[in-house]
Amino acid sequence: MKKIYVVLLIVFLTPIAVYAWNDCPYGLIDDPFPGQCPRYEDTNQDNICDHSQSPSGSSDNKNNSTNGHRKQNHGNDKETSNVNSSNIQIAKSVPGESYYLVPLAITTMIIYLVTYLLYLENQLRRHVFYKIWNYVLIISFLVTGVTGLIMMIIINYGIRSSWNLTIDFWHAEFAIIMATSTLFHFHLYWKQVKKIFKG
Amino acid sequence: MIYDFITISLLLILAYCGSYALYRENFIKKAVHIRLWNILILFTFLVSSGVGLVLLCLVEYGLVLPINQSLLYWHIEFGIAMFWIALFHMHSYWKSSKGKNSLNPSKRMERGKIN
Repeated sequence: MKKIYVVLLIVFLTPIAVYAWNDCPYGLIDDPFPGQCPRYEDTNQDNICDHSQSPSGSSDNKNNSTNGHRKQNHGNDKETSNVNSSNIQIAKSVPGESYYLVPLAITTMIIYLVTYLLYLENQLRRHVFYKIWNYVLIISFLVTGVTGLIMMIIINYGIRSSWNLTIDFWHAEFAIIMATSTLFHFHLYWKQVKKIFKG
Repeated sequence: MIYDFITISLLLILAYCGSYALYRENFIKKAVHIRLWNILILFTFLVSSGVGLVLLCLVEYGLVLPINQSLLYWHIEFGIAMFWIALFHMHSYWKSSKGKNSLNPSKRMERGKIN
């Protein structure tokens, strides 16, 4: 019975993860001008809403907009003009707004359910299953913690660099993985978690 | 806004060392020591990740609220606390997980028979 529930959950969650990469809240694909919702955005001026375009297209657009925004700042702020070109190249890979909360959380959940199903089917040994998710939690925690500490230092000392956005982005991404795998950690160690609140 | 990284870190390290010393000197049971830090990690995780999630949603949808600044402040403060408590959590369980994995199959079978 448990296995059936896990399979059903995987089947239910997979389409959500697939469609969530196109970040249109209404699931529209290639929505033409003037768009069907107030979130219409067209940074590359191709008369198609960026939110309804494929992930690579929309992320390129967002990168362009970030780059464009950066160029605007270049004229206004003398400090940003000192940023070297290699840093700008790196900063291009940072999406401006979207942190992929839903797709990332659901993809992690699907992977967990698949490993859980393998464990239930005796294809995966218990300690291997536990170890995989403990390592996922430790690695995501370390990346989140270290990037968080770096950002805190950056804020405390008012350091400005083109890396700030990159660090912020990866902090959020790994934090999503960490929070999701912490919930799995509760599931794996549920008996021990319950004991905390019992006398 | 300045975040109290050093103050929080020192307070938590001292508190953990104190609690660990009390357990090692048999003033408190190991279960009490572990439970105390498990409750603290759960609490800091819930606050830090909950506020982080709210902030993430606000940023994703471009919402600027007057409480954004204080949300960010408490997210970071509780995040600092969670960072240290998570390290203590790993320290508490490191030996037990190592012990389980280091057993070879024959020893594990023997232990299984005894149990």
